Amino acid sequence: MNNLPSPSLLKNKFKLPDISSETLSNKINIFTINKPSTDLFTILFINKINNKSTSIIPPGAISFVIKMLFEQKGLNNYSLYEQIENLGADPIYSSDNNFITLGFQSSSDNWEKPLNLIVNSILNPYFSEKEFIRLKKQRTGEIIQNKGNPMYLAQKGLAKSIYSKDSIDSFTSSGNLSSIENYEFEKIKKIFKQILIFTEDTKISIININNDKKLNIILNNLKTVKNISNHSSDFSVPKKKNYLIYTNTNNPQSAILFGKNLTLSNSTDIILGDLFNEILGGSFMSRLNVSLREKKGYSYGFGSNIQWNTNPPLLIGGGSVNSTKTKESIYEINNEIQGLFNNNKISNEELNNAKHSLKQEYLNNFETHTSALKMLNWLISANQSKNFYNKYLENIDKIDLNHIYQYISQNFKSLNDFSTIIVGDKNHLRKLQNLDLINFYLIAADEII
Amino acid sequence: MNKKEHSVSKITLSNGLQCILNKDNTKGYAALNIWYHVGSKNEKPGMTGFAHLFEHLMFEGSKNCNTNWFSIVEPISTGINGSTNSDRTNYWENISPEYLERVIFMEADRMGYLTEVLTDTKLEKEKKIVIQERKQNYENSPYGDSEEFIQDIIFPKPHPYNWQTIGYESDIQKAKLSETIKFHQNYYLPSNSSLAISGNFNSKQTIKWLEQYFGNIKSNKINSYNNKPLISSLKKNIFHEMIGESPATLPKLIIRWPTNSHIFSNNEPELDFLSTILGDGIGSRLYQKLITKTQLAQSLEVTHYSNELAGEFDISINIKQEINFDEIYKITIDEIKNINSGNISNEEIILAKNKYKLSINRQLEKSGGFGGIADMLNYFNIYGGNPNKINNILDRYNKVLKQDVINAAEYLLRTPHLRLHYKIKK
Repeated sequence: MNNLPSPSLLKNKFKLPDISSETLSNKINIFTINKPSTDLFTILFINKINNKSTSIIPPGAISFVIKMLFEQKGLNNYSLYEQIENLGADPIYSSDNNFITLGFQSSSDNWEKPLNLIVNSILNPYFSEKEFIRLKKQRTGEIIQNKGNPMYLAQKGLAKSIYSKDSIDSFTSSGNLSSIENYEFEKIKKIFKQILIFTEDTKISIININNDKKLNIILNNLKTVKNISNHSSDFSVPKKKNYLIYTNTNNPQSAILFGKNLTLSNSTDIILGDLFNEILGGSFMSRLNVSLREKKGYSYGFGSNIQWNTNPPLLIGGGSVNSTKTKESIYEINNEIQGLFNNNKISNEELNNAKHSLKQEYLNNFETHTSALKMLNWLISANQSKNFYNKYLENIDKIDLNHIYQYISQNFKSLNDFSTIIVGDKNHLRKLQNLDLINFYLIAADEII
Repeated sequence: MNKKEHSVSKITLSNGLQCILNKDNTKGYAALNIWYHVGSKNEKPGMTGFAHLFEHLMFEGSKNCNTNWFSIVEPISTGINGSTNSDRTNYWENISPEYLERVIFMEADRMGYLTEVLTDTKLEKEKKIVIQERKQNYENSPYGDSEEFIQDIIFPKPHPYNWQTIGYESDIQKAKLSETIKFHQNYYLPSNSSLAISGNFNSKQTIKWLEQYFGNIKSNKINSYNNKPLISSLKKNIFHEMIGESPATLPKLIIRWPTNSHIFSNNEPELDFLSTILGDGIGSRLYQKLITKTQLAQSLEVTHYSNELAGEFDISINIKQEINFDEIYKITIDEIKNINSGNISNEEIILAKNKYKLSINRQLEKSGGFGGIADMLNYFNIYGGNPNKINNILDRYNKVLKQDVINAAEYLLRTPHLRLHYKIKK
């Protein structure tokens, strides 16, 4: 049909950047990429959350503690956030239920003062009860504000559906209103001191500095405590439930999320999962987007992704669809998943396209300071070796359809193997209660926040 | 400053197409970015949303490549997308270098030979998708229903910024195939566009391809359109209350000024700095007053954006209780008055400069995508007439003085604005 120009002989000689790693005398591991093309420096400290029991860590407390560190006013009436900014750097902090990440970005000649400041704030924490109360109120307000976002509610529903109620994973990282209400100042201080420390498990990612003596001295001098044992695998897997979450507004669209934990036995599973995801919902021409957007016009966009750095990994699909086509969309999604194993098997062309896309993506994900940092952090959080990306590119061409099918068939066969959450208008959702395909529970949005 | 000076060369083909090259073989791809100097400002009332709907049609195939663009380009790229705003429509692809010729061919084909294969089926399909886009981003998004109203008030008709780029659903529904063909003929012309390539490519070979594929496309006479700055006719402050239909859960105070700060206007950087000082980050003035100290507000955003004909300055505050609307409005305006009275420190100016420097350094690291080097080359070429301005991007910001920000505050105080109380439906 198309007489398109053939590829030229110009070969892409672009290579992955070198990732170096080093273990300091205090056992902290540092991962570094040097990108001298810009005048930027970033350093991040990454701590893994080792205890996920809600009896030890109330839902949302990890994220709250990070908020306390950066946003509470100190004795000088400035927050750490403001002090870092006043030094000409950008504070960076985030957390989920698995990792805490904090640090800053600055110009490459301006890292020393912000680094000393942040290290000192962790080693010598300051607590103000007045500020604790203020930030607690603010966090409550954030959750109420986010309640207006249908996808936020769907994520809360999915966490509740997949994980044991005894684990913080059954809540999104910000927690919920009742858990925040019960935060006590002394308890939060204790959690702060438990998780905001340097341990032998602490990892550091740095972009744009190599073997700087001054930096090495600061980092080597960080006092670390021994590794803390991992308690996170003790939870029983709950019986999954599918939720219809209704809001108080007449939503013109329904937000759909479906998710399932995946098996992960070795790093090849990551390649298999990535290739499959690219075909299912990870690209514009993926099956879910072509079905729900391009063919049916029910949605502006529908996709999927895999979170490899949760334990176990999590495959999530989702998007917003026209409210009046919610039921039809659910059947389309199921058809796409079941079709993979029956009348619409993955073709070699689809697999090859996915390989080409992923190879390009992995190479170019190191283009910028920020994207390289993301890749470095992923490596750390997914607990992969520094050679992972090179091996990924070496091995991706060895994958065939049999490998993909072996992997996915041990994980699911139909939409019913996933937890499905739909958020939207009550009148539309009610009609889904008696579907022959999925058994749903109808709940109010207020029950989930 | 960025360590790296961007080498920029520009050629103009005989049909008027301006091509800009920025070679950087440290990159793993070639970023192709094309701007058509047409946006929602070129629409007429009753035909709103047309420029954006047309952007969708550009991905539906052209005469010599009559198939969905993504099916061909996605496997050979790391990104492909397009966007429309009030002033321009852009399309970009980050291509594996060996496929650059293919994508140049495809871009040329849809510039020159799209309408021959445009059909009602394609149009109806994209109408459905655009209507879902509208629902997702406006109707089913907190406060999304306020934007249509705001635009109508702050840029009264016949200003071409009177409506949103997404358009009204009724207008999208009634778009006709004949109108799309006419739109392409009027605006999708070599002489009305700018094409930039940044990253990994062979310059000599690329110029040959550009001439080979784009060179024969004719530039019909473009419908004359006045791109000169046009200020809003809003004459006095407007106060309005609305009960929202969106899924928002907190009331919101929105204060929006239509400004004369069009792209490259003298007061663009100083209004940018004023917005940073008022609302960027935890240390900013309004954050400290409204969120940290009085705790009357939950969150806030202060934004200044410049478009081709005019600008907008926006202060949006999510508040905890409706009863506090008036107090929050007063604190906000008083803070602008406070700056106008000279109460601003050099440290605040330095901080704002640092933020811009870091932000620009981050932005200009990437060759492709929205806001990447290729996109910015077209920005400077279309609006500033010279893509080389990319190398002096921070100069105007480095020159901003305390008095300039005081002037910006003074300008806001004498410029009419809309004060909107967005209330939550009980």
